[in-house]
Amino acid sequence: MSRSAEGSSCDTVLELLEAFVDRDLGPGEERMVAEHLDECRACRREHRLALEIRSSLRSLPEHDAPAKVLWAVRMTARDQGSRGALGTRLLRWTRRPASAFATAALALAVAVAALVWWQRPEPRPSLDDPEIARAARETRFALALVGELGRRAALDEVLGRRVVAPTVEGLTDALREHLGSERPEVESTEREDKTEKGATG
Amino acid sequence: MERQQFEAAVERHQRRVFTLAWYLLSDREEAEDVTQEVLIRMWRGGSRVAPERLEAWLLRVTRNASYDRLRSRRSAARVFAMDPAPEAAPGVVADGPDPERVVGGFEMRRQLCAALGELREPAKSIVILREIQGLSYQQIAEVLELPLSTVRVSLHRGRRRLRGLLREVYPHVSVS
Repeated sequence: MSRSAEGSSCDTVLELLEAFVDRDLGPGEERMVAEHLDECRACRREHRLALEIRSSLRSLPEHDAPAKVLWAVRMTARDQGSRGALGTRLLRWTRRPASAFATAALALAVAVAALVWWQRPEPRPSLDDPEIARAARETRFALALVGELGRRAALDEVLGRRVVAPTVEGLTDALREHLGSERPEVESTEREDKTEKGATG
Repeated sequence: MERQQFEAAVERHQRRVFTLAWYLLSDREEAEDVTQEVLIRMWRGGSRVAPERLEAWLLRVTRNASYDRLRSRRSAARVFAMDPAPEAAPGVVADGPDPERVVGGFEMRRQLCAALGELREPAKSIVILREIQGLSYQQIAEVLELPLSTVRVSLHRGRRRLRGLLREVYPHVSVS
């Protein structure tokens, strides 16, 4: 171990050497190291070596990722594009602790609101007496109308088909029997028909 | 993260990610796998990261993914009782014409990368991020989530260790 005129040892300087190379020392320490290097050949060599290694490290190249890697990344992103949009964001949102709490609170609020709505009392109709009386009158009128229509329909059925028509038919037959051949309109008509047939034949 | 933002981020950060992975792993194929994995994770989760912190986040994820692979590799080597196959170091792969690489620099760089592999964490990551990738102390502190003082001390400790390992590689260093 050597010691400079100011008393700085090689160990101390070598300890500070990298910081000295990077100029990370305070003014006092930097001056002390610089003065030691001026006087100490061994530490000067270490200093040169430190500079050389740092320079070599800084000359090491950076590298671009191969095109095939970037292509694969882009293809994967494209395939997952739809999931990367709304769905993924929603899923991610629900996975956060605060979001999960908010989601649970919202679901609880919706459930309580639904329960309250479901349990609400049914509204009762509020009708006054005049309205009830009017409705009763209208109902009676409607029933009477239906009854009258039914009665008329039944009357038509009974009188028309079962009484009037058979009666008229019976009267016609009786009249035909009673008159016998004395039915001038019918006879004359039949004669005219036969005359026309003979003339054409 | 929108598609256009993602494309721009890939262009901007792929080099940093791939370089860090390659220097940490010393294995090009594994570095490619890690890069792909990290960039896809950026697609899935990058929107949660503020744009100004995206690079630090990417490098942190890259470092963690790389060390996961290193751990797997060591486990496999233990199981099969064999050393990991020596790989071409990232600093000695010929990207193009480089006279220094062809003449004397090639061997020196190979030794340098081998010595880098001897460093412990966090010094190894810090040396790579600072000296090869040119990040500031502040950026490195953010990537590794370490105090600035730790970054500075670890960097100097790592380079001092390299000096000890590489003394024989630099016999030409003389004192004027």
